Amino acid sequence: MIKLEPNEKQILMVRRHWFVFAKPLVFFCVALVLPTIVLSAAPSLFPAPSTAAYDPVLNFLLTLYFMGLFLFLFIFWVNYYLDVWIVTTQRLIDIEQKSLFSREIAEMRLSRIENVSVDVHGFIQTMLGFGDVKVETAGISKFIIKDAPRYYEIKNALLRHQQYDNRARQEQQNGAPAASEHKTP
Amino acid sequence: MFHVPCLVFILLLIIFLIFLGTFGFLAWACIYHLRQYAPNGLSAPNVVTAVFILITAALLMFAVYFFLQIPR
Repeated sequence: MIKLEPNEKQILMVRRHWFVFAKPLVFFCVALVLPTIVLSAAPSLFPAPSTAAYDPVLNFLLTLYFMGLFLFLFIFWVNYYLDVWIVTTQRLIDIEQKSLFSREIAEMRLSRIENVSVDVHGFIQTMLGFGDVKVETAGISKFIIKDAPRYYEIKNALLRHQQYDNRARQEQQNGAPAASEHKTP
Repeated sequence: MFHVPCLVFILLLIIFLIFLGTFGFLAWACIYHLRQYAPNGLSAPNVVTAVFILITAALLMFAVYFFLQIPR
């Protein structure tokens, strides 16, 4: 995991909203019952003499199919679980697990934040309370915390700690003792 | 010469071995990623991994059982 600097504290760890996981879960459930439907409809659709000798072949292939389905769900959950944003007292860290073998880590100092906006669009996002938090810096870079739950809490935490971080840096530059430990509400 | 059931058995054996190799590699990769990168102190990765291993082990036993039933 990410190593924090001395005097740095983790404030928030944000994952995407659970609804993101709903789509593959529905696909998984449909795929789980699909063989039952197909196999119960097959004799009437393709009337052929059944060979009991090949029942184990069918059962064997079905078992492999179910194993594949569970593996698919596990891979998706791992990608979902490891895709996180961490807000500390000094940085915003974006750990993006794009796929099983593709991982990207980026970070931004809170003092560089210029603007934080929240984008909630659509019926589902409004009702379930999740949306995109867009963090813009003085440069070109832009962080988007996608499908974040508790978006106002994230936005407020970012802005509040950006002010603390800015003040601490200014004090350091002026030669005053750095406000290294600020209280996290 | 090979007769048809024997050919089917060999074909399924090859499929089974390739499947097991791919499955094992991907499952190991998932567990490795969870152990390496998951935040410390949370029990969710351990619980999900344990559930996945249990389901997989049960399905694997069924697969081996059905595979051994295939006529050779």
